[in-house]
Amino acid sequence: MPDPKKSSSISSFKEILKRFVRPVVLFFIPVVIIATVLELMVAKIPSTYSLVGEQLEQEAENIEVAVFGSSQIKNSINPEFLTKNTLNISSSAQHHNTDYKLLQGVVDRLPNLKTVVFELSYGHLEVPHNSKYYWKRPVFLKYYGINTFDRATTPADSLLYMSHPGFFTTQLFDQYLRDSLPAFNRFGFDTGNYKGRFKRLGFDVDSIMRDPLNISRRESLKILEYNTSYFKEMLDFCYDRGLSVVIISPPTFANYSEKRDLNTLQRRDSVLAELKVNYPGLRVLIAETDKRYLVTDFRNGNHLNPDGAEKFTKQLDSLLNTN
Amino acid sequence: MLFNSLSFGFFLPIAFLVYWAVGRQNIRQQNLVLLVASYIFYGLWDWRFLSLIFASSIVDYYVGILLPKAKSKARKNSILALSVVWNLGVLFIFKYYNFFIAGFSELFSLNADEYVFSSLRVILPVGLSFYTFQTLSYSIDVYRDRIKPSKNLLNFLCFVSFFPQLVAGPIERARNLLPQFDKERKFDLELAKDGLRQILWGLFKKVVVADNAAVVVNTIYASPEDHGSLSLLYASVLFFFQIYCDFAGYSDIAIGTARLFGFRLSKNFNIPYLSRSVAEFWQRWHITLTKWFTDYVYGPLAKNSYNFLVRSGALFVDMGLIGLWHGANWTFIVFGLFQAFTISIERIPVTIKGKVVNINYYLTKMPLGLTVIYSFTLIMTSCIFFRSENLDMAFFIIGRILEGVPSEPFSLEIGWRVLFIPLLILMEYFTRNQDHPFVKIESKTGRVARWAMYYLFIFFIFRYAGPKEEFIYFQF
Repeated sequence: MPDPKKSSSISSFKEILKRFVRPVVLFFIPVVIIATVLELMVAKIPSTYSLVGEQLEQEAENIEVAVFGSSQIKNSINPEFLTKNTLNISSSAQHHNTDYKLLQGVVDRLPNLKTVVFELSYGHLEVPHNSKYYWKRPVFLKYYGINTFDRATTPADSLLYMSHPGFFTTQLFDQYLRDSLPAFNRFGFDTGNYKGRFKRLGFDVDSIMRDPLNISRRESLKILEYNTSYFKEMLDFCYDRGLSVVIISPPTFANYSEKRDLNTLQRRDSVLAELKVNYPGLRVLIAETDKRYLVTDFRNGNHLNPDGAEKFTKQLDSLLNTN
Repeated sequence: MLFNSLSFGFFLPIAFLVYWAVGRQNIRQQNLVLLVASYIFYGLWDWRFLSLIFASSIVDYYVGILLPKAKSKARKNSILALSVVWNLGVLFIFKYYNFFIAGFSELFSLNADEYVFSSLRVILPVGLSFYTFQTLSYSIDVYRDRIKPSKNLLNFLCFVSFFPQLVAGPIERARNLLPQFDKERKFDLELAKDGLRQILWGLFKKVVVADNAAVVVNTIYASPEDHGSLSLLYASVLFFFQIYCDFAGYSDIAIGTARLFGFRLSKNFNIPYLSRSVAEFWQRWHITLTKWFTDYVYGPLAKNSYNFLVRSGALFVDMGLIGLWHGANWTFIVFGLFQAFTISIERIPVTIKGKVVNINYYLTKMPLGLTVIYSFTLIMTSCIFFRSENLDMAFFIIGRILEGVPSEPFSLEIGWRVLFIPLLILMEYFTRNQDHPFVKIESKTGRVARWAMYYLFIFFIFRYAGPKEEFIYFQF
């Protein structure tokens, strides 16, 4: 607290501007300049979002399939192995509420969209939706032009660097100072993304099975109830528009699948069974325990590497091509 | 609008400039600017609840006007009752109704939905617990003749809705804040500069320390059964620092922002983790809430009694209500009662060599390090209740910590960023007699060093910001 005896009061607004506002502005000028430069640099980094945004803009007329989901889907669906032109608009930690907003944002821009692919992993129905502070909202606004804020947006809402400075500073380091650039294809899929726990353990199954792994085993019937009804609303939205729906869950390795909570799994499977009955034509591809996937197809317990993604995408392609 | 958002970064300078630009005209215009700014600030969350703030302000304003005119004690009581019923009624409906209905139904094995008093689908208006307590204390103080009622509606509306402290305190008393709206405010350069420094410190606490600690806490508390004792203990320690930095950070930003407008708000935190006892902790933690409950709950119940049982009884009621104030959940009530229990133990009078002493007395004689470990252990334990979703989860975590279950692998989750906590402790410890660590920086350093320090902290805030989290106390 400043010394109360020391008089520093100013009555003229001009003096306030001169003695307080001016030094403060001077102080913040470098901060604003640096932030602006960082913002511009971040915007120039090729990212999965910028490429998906480009695809959305340039190929909107031809896109027939749209895939939504989390990092498991981002890593397991490489659209270049799909016969139909596909938009993979999934991203890490993206839950159904975000998927739904993105779907609502793209559906009218994709005149030939016929199929929508949603993720329904083992824990999806008992994990809370993305919060209203989900940091990717500016990313979606900037690259996809989709408002997921649930309110009117301002120009500041599309500032990327400010949305998650820590994350984007790391991205800038990777882009400009380190030799670890992703090898994105035109669909925003990283074809060189082989790094991960399994590679570090030399793909040795014994070491992988011994390697401690924590997965979410939290059961929540309250969340289940909410998420299930929300998911049905998403399906209704698609059915009302004549879109066919495919529900998928990519392969997981034994070190992950064996740790799943069986009650949660059973409840997810019950919901799936009910959906199959109530939504005619609904197609499902649950490959969580598919033994055809080898340890070398994975980055870690629940993320495929590009080799695994090729296999899984081709599996999905077969399903998409069946009526 | 969050204090740690870009929109606040635009809002604050505009409000500041307009406020001081009209300040040359008259105080009424300044207050009008503050009122508009405050209603915009709040309305951006949910404009519908502006009507609730306005209604609360009107009720208590007229209660204040009517109280001195009441000719009998009974009339005075009934006018005060109007304020109490309104404020607590609003709080009850929006915050506690469903909790009590659920408890009642469970107690009598009823299906609440089948009865007239079924649960309500309402959302809790942000800051409700803070501003209703502020308006309620105003009416009680007028009733007790501690303050004179406000006769200026504009100033009173400003007092209730003053945006820096509207949504999460400090809970200001009318006798401190209301007169500040009545008197002429001249721009105080030193106060404003200090305000900016305090905002910087608050942002560091919130964005760097609290939001990074939240990563650890959210991860480990999401599935405590998958983590060993050390991980759970680590998460629980970090949760203490998360809520401290989250809430004290908010208070710092609120106090700093108020200073930019020429206002002085009450200190709300005073390095609580350095308390020697649980009783002392509550003199250092959320100070304005503790004082509120001491004045309006504990004081009237204990009635200056020295009787241990009377004081303990009052303490249990007081702390139980403090717990309940935090949220409609048994975990918060147990959090409060746990504190009451430990404070009561600390107060047990023992006669040694003819001298009546208690544990508190011995705690003041012991080395600071030991007493800090003692009080921190108890506070951290109570925080497990605060953070847990239900009592079962809290007891499970405490049990698992005590069982010594191996934590393999033990992960810091946020790597070396955890070192921001010792940095915070060191900075606050060495400047413990000041409002915040940057207070005397101007007299001790030249401009270059000072600005370098500010830039360093701004760099920390940008570079090491944790994932954006809402301020925890907004939900209360």
